[in-house]
Amino acid sequence: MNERRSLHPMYIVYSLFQVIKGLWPLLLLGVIRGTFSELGWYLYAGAGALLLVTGLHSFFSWKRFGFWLEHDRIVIRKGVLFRDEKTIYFTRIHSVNVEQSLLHRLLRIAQVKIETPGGNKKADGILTALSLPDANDIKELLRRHADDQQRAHKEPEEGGAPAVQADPDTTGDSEHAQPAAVNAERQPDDKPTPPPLSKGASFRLDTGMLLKAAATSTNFGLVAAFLGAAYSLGNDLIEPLLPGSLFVDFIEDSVTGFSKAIVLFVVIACIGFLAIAWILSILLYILKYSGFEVRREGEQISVSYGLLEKKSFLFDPKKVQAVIVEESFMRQPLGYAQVQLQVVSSAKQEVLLLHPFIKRSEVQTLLDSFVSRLRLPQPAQFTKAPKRAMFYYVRFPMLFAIIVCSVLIVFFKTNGLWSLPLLPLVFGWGYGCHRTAGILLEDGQLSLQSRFVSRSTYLIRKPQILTMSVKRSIGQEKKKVASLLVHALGSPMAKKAAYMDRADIEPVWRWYSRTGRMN
Amino acid sequence: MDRALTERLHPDYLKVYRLNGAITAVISLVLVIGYLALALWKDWTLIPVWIGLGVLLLECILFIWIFPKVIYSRFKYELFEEELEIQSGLIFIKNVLVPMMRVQHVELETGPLMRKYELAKVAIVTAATTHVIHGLKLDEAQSLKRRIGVLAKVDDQDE
Repeated sequence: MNERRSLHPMYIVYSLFQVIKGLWPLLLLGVIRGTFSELGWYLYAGAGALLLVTGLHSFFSWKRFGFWLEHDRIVIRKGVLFRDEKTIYFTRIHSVNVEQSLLHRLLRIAQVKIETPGGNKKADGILTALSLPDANDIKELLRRHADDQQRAHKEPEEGGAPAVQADPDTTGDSEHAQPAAVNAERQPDDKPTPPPLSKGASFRLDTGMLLKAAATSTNFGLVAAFLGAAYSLGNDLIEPLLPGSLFVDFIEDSVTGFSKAIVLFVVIACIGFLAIAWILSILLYILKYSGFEVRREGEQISVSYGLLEKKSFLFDPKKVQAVIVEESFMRQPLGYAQVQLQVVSSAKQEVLLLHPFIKRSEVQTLLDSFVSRLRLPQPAQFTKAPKRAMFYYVRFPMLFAIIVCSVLIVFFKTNGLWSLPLLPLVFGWGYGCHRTAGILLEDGQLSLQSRFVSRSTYLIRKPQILTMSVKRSIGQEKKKVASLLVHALGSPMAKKAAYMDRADIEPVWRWYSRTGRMN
Repeated sequence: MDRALTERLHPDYLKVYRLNGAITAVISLVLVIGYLALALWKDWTLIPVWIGLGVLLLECILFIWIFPKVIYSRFKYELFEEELEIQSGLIFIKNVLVPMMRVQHVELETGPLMRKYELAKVAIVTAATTHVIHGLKLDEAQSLKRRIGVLAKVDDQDE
């Protein structure tokens, strides 16, 4: 197994495209400006030389790139001018990801990323271009090693959790599911027998669910940015056609009194804008999450999704620190939630998606099959924030809203009064946050429920809590109100249960304190 | 969070904090005087001087008088067998529990001013958080560092 392996030859094309991708604004400019000027010839020569140099560079870096899979480590050698050798021991590997960007898919290759703990990007082993079977082959191989390691520590437990929803007709293409068996003939010979793939649970998202999820997704931020770009582009195109910008007309009209047509136009435009934003958000969501699947692969959990850009990651369930169940305000009434995991991975402090759209009632089954010993309590079980704490939820948002309203009224006089509905809205928001906030301590598990916009429930067990803090101001101390903060690995931010009753926090504090129990 | 924590900062920390505040105040004063001279020479408006003096006064009250006192009186800590509890705060009072088995390393740091009073600050670092005890006498800081070092090694598989 010690033979040198190299990347797929498509790597040359891939890295060439990468260079072009970085330079395309320049190229576009060159083409537009240069074609008609007498400088054109030089430009083409320059571009040609550039292409040749990068092409040669890509070729040699492909040639130089080699990796060796030895019995306990992977060695990667690369570099044309500066040689670089990287050795990653299998024991140190944290996760192995197979990724496919759009370009990768067009070229029918895939990228394998081997992540090590605590490492930055440089410390990760990246095999930029491999044929898909090869990529999955390597991923499978590394996974087996990880499993073996764990077997050495303890007997494998039976991972026979029930498959809850194994729907055969998923929208995603099935090519990512196939190659588990491909490497059967390429089994490394220093191992006795291939460990039997424990047939574990798998969750998928069928077409109907995907559509529902997309329709209730609220990633308006991305859409707004997209539309903003489209608008500025459109404005540039429209401006020569229409004398005077629309907005100038609009403002002039609003000064001289509203013309009905303009108002109607603005209303229709707003509705249209929202509709387009919604449709776009649905499309983007489908592109991102179609073909979603989470399943157990031996000791590890594999999550994969994506239509154009394939994402797939593999991680050890033992590295899961906490679970975050999030119900956005459109999904909460429908009873659906999104499940995220806080995992210790490399330097990226990120939360991984375990499931984008699942019935709240089924979350427990999902957790049981993948994350051990965490329970999702019912919202009614939580000890809620006390009534007297409501003031603290509402004060700053209300203060801000009052300032905004007063400024608007001062500047726009009567028209500024239209901002007044902001006040009850903000109050309602603060009230909602207050009503949701709660803590629950049960069977050695701490659960925090809170709301920013969507309701989020945080589940963590004692060994995973890194530090715990309690925070309160003097006034809150007098009112016996305090905030509880829980810090865990995998996220730079502490999770907070704000302004709870002190009497409800104290048991949690005593539970976490290692000395508190004794006296 | 209700138990009385016994350890406090060294009173000399108050002096260092105030000295720090005084130094910044002097620098601000120099800036204000500089502008005043320039303004008198060039016949500029004197309004910035008044604003500057106001800010300076506020700075003196807050950083030399109130903040050090409050921070000092609020800061308490105690090292237990299995955990460290720190209470600190200015506007908010914060209690934090750091289990010994989560401590990754302890850092000792001291600056020129602190060295003059033989003070040091001890930073207790976990995998994701850092907790600082600001002003301790050097030998006290050393012994705290060593004690945490010993306690943190205890491999306690709780639960």
